Amino acid sequence: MATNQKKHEPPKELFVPHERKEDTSERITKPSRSFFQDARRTFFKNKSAVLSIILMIIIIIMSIFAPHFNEYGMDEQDLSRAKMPPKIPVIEDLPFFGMNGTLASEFKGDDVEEATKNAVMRYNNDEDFIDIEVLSEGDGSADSAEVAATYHIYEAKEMQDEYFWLGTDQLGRDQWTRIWLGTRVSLIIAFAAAAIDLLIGVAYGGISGYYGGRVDNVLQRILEILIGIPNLVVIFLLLIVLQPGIISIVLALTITGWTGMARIVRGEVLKQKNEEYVLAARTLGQSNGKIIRKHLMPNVAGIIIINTMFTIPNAIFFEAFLSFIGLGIVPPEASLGALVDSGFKVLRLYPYMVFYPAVLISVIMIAFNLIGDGLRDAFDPKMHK
Amino acid sequence: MKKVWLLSLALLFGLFLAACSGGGESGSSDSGSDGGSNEGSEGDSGSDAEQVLHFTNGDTIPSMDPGMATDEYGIQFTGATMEGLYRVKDGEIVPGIAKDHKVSEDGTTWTFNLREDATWSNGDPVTAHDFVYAWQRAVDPETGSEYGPYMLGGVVKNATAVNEGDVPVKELGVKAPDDYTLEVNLENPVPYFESLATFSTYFPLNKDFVEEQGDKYATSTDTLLFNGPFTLENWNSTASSWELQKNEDYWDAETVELKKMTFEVVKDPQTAVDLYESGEVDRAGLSSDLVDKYQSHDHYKVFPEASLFYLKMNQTKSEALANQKMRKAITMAFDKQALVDEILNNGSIVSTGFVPADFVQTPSGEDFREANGDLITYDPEKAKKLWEEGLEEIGKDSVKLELLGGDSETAKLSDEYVVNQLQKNLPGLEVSLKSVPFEQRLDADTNMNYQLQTSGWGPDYMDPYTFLNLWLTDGQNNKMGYSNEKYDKLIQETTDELAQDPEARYDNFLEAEKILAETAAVAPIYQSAKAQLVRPKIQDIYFNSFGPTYEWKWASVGSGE
Amino acid sequence: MFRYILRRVLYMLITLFIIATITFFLMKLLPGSPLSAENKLSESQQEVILAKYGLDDPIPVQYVNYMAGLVQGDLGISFHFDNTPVTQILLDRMPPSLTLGMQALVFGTIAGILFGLIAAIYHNGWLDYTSTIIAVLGTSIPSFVFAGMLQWYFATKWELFPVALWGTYAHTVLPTIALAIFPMATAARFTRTEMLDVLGSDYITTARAKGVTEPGVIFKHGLRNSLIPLVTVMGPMAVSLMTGTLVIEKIFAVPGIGEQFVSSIEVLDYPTIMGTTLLFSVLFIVIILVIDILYVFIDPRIRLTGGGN
Repeated sequence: MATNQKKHEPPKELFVPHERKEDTSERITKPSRSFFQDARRTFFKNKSAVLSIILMIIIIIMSIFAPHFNEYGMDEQDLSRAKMPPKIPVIEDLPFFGMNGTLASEFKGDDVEEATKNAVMRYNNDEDFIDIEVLSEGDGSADSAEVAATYHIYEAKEMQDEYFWLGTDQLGRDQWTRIWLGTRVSLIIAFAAAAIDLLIGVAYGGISGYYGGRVDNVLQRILEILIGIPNLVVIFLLLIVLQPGIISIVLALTITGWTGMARIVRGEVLKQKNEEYVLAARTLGQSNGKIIRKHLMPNVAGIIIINTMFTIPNAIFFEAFLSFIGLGIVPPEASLGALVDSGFKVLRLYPYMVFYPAVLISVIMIAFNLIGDGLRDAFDPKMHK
Repeated sequence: MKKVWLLSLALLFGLFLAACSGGGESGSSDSGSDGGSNEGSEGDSGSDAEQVLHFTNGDTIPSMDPGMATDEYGIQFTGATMEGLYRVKDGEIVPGIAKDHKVSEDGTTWTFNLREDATWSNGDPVTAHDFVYAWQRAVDPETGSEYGPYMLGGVVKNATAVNEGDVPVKELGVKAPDDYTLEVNLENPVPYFESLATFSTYFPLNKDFVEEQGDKYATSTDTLLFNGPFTLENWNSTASSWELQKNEDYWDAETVELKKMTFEVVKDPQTAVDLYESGEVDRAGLSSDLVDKYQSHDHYKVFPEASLFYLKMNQTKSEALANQKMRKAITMAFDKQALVDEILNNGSIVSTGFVPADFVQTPSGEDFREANGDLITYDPEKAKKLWEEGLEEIGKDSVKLELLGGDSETAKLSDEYVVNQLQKNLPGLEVSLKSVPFEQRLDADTNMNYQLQTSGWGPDYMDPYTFLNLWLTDGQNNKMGYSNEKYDKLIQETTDELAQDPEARYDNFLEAEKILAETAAVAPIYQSAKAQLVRPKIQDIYFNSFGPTYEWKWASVGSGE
Repeated sequence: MFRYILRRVLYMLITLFIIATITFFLMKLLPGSPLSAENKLSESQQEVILAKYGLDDPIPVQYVNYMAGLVQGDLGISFHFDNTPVTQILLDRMPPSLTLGMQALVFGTIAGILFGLIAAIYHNGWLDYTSTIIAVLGTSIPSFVFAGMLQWYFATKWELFPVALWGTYAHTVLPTIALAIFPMATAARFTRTEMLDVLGSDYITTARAKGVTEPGVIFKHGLRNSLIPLVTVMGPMAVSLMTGTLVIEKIFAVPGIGEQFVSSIEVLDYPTIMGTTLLFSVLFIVIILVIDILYVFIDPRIRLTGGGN
């Protein structure tokens, strides 16, 4: 056997000394990035989220400064200029924007004459300021003729030099001013509600999840009861008891609103606290407070931020809903919800009164939703590329 | 019906109320289902129009017990299904269960002769005992009726004493010497007792039936008895739709032409108008914004009402409001004309006094309002001057007040406007607005827990007293700390020593109203009206200023135009 | 499983008890009583009225009485509707709301899942973008604006459906659509996200490798696993659909419970407000329980135990 072995020995010359090279297989070729850097990168790749952020910044800035862009006040009433349609300099000359300060509608009648008569009556009999365009001559039968009438109300009221950019409401207040002030109120309510939800929810959920055991048990039972109460009911009851206003609306929104946050935070903390890095920190003698602040918080931050981003539009939505059922902000103050509500009642008659606040409220909702979606992707390691 | 109702309801529901009447649509008994539109359907079935009408109603009917009803709809539908001694037809008082009556010389004993052919819907005859029972029940404290003591108290002898529990119920001044004679003893001569007796609280009740039903009485169609022109079908107290059908047992059934009326609760005016346009209902009330669109419509109609709306100023909750000059300044500090033209926009007119226009006439035939003229008008300069003098008197340079208002869209807008006007015209005044539902305002009013309040009043009978007793020092509806000895005396005289002397009585009323203006009791705002779309083929539905809003007994569906 | 349900039912009763207690005392703080009226009531009358509603006892006694009544299903008499028990009001008003809520839930969820599925399958295609846009709009536009538009176009303008009111099946169509839009959008978003997640996971690759057909992959493996988070959000939504439809009910003049709740608040009808509150709470709690139990059937990984964890 031994000899055989020798026979099969490879020739020595086949052995080449190994040249020592640096090991590249484990080398990190890309610059090293922390989780948050990754998240940020993913987020900024998300075009709709970035656009939404820019949009929101613009809206916030507008809500602060836009009310001062013209000379009209929030509660500056003048019934002689009530229900004026929007009119903006320059844009008034571009017909398709509909911002030229006219009211237009179609009128029917048995013949053109009658249809025209209806149109003229509809617009205060100001014949001199009404343009009539015949759409259908009609054959004499009921409502067969149709005319389109355009009423130049600014001229009729001798207010050619006035510009209500987004029109006026039933009391002659400038809608531009009111819409932006309303945006301000809505955003204040939303941010305040989100902030309070955040504070209470994180503290409650964090304590419950981190300490676990009996503390968790008691806190969870309380939470279960709170969740069992339909929030609509609590909000109604609170708004009857309290003086209506921004503070009571915020209070009503937050009194049960934080439970969602608390549940999510607790779940996440429960998951994280059993991770090895927490065990390591604890073994090294870190205090509870420090573990929570330095180790747990950064790791649950993502989910908290995401959840907050969804709380804000919900608060705006709910405030609008409260306005709709008559429990919202107190006049003459307005919120976007209150403006949509009062405009909604005249939707078919003066669509501009509801159109702009409704668009704004929808844009804000969409923006926050998209930001929230973007953040969720950003905090999801699977989405990092 | 006295309704502050009207106030909150009319404002908010101006449309709704309006919505609760109807017009005749020709071929429509089954039109509810597919919403098809037949806007121009009036002409389609010619002259043999079906006597059926479809209406919307602003809300449910909370009570059909004539003794308990306090709201617009309770009074409306008890009025349609029951009948008292008299009915009101287009402002005239016409016989109902009573054929005629005699009044004693001192004006305190009224003897009514009842018709013998009137029956309840279970076949029982309607007798004088039914009236005695109903009236006793209304004031019996055990019943807990709100309108009983209000409508009968101080009118029918011993009503107040019975209600306070001081004397037994049978001491009430109403007797039935025989089945068809009703004898009523009054505390004082009451010249307007006939019109009072058309009110639902004075309706008869079938004792056996009511007692048999107990607590269930008047909670659904099955627990109701009718003696009026119509019967109420498919109703219970929470029902959102119901019908009125011709009562074939009604003594005057041959006069009643309508076979059926259907009602659906619709609270949103725009929805009501949509239903009108699609032909499903025959009348729709219009909110002021809708008036803009429909005022040129062929079916557009305005119905004036006799309800007044005003600003109550609670003298017990504010030093400023206790000051007569400052109150007076407030009464003159807002432009009422712009408010009725631009915000209400439904035919309402400016109110300048404490008794409405086109309501009652003085014995010389002059309208009460014209006899006294415009007592309180918009005058910002004078208001400002008075206000500044007032501020000096109370030694302050600014005042903060809260205005309690209704929560309907129109109420909110007009309150916002009034607040804005007051702040603009009265230097140093700051007013905050609180809009609450009607019941909450009622509660604040009952407890005098407000400073300024927009409120309203509709008449309960045809006499200036229904408006002018409001501000008596111990008046049940005063609730704002107003008191004027001379006024109290003038009004008191109209109920006793001057009761039989119309000339002197009206002189007292006119004088008393001037005192109210002089001392700025309340700040009149407007006299309401309703704007509606009504099908032209509806004929002879009368619009009442007191009692049930609509009188359907004589109504019919005509052939069209 | 049985022990778990028993325990949950027990918690449910405790929760209800606490809710009833809180609402009861909250109501006592609120303004208004059957005594507020335009006209003054005499003292003996006031006593009669208070006695009728059991308000003449001291508050602790009232509380005990109320709770005792509650156990027997007696919620008292409405302040507003003369001599009408609250239970009758609730029974009268529940059916329309339930009908609308159920229809909207079923329709909205199915449509939403379909949208989400299509979006996930055609990920990043135009179908994906379209259904995402629809979903975002659906969650962002206030429901009353949407309902108003529906009413205007489908009823007034095109006359396809009744404008409002209640009665035939056709009357339920527009309110159902208006109500369904939010659950639809939510379901679509959730389904899309979860489907993408699931379709990228290893077992789906395995299934594909094994030769499972594409529909089999999507429906049998993908969809089933995507539904779990959906069930979590749809539960509370089901309650709000069946109870919180008041805006829609107002616009379409539907005699439902939500609308009734708001008008009870307006007329300060406390017994009805309380009764409705409790009804909502019961519905809410029961549905949450049902959902937790439903988990077991959808997700084989979850096993309910009697313990707390």
